[in-house]
Amino acid sequence: MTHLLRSEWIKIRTVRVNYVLGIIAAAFPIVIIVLVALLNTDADSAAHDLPGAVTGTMLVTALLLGVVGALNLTSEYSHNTIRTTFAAVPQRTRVLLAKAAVSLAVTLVVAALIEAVTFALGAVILNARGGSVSPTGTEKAAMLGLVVLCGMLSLLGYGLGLIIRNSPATVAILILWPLLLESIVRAVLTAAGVDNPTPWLPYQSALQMAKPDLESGDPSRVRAGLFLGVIVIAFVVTGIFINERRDA
Amino acid sequence: MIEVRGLTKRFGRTTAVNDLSFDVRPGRVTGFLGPNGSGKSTSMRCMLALDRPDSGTVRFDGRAYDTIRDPLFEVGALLDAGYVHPGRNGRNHLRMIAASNGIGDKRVDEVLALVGLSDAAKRRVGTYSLGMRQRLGLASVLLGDPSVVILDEPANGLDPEGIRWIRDVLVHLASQGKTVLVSSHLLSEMAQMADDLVVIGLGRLIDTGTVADFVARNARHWVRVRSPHIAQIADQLRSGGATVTMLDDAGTGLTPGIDVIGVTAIQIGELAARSSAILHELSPQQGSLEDAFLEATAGAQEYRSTSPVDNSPPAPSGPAYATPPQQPPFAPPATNLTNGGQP
Repeated sequence: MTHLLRSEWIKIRTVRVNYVLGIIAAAFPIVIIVLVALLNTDADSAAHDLPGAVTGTMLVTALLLGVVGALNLTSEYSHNTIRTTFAAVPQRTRVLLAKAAVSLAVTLVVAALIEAVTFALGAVILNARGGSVSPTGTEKAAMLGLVVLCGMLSLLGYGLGLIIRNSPATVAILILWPLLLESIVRAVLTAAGVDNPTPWLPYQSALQMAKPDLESGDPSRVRAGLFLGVIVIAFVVTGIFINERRDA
Repeated sequence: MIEVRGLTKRFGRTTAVNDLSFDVRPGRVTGFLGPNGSGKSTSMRCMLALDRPDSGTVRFDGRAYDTIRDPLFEVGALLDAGYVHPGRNGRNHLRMIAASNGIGDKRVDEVLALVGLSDAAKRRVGTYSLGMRQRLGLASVLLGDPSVVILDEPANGLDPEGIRWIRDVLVHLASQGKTVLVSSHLLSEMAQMADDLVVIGLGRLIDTGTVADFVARNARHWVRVRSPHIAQIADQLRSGGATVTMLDDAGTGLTPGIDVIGVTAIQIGELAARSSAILHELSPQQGSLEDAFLEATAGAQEYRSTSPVDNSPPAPSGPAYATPPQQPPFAPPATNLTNGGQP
């Protein structure tokens, strides 16, 4: 398995698009938080809200890292390198698990780094402007939850990619899921008389993981994480099962 | 040793490979031939467990491919030089393959040098020519110094030097006792490097055996005769039941000649001797591997083209005759051709 992990690590590191998406994923929250920290007239209030601002802006990062997770697999199909990969290691489940593991590990590390850098920059600026940044326990939990959410979305993209095996379609579904699909389901559930549909929507529910202040009726971070986690695992397992049987 | 038994692969209603069985022996280059759409590439993908066959087995030294751990050390395969990420450089392409089987970067640099790509190793593969990609693909095949090599159209896109190089490489690998299976449409190349052939058409096995046997079985045979007395010899042969075609050598300065089907060179020589006829040429002729291939696969072409010209090969390069009778009723008359046909 060590050999496979190294191979997958080389693959991720040697494709330029991963760096481009990583830079965009990092630049978005960093630029926003730095601007907010510099331009907000109430530095003390901004310092208090910093953890929430960081986790909020990093939702875009989470989606982009999901795209990286998806492309990590689907680009193998679009360039047919999956045949080279499976010819070198015909035990497909081992290959796909190694790829998922490396993709998840890279996402967690990158997400944690981006979050740490973003938060640190915001904290330095706001502290210099007279604010006082000191995150509470729930805010720290939300920041940790965001990193986990990034990992889950990366695996979600990976699982979708395993099933769809097409880059544009996978990325479109990954983006449209939270933006469109869950909005439609939410509207349907609301029309059906469900007071708070959020616990029934995997992505919306999972956002609670990265929310510093949970409202009453919201699912807990753990429950929200488990809900999306089960769905992600279901996609990945289904994808591996399908790929074991399909022609490469 | 590769053993293919009863391999069948269907895509919907189309049977791409149909109950295919053959062996590929070590120490020999085996050519895998077939018209477009005959199932060669599908067969190769099934052999490497990339496509899942509907039935049948493929064994590499007794083992199915997907049971081999670190197969690069046992089977090296190049199915398509285009199976690369254009944004990755050549060295990293090889590194990711090598790493999956525990092969280090040192070996990557060795095979890059072996295929002559050291200088282009850091260039993105997207900038490579097709010939360079073929070389890169061959480098990936050589990474683990495997005992079995499978190549699908490796000469595709190569220049003449590259074609000769890959031929030499494959012959060298076979001389080391390795099992080499290679498909190609370059039949002249195949004739030069292959020892054995597996010929398929419409997914079915058409013929298998040595190249010499395949050509002997499927190519046409005839005898070329040149003589100052060619008209008399032709008459004698025709009267004996042979099929004779006059060669159109007008203005070439050559002695007039004929191509003869239905008799052997020995019979013609004896006839000429009895007739005291001078012969300037008496040579058995045989069609090429290309002729034999076209003959063998004539009924198994999925896609047939129409030609603006007569496709019958001209007399100097091959026969354009009807198949001769199995037992030609040839009985050479005792005629002296030098004295006006008088006995």
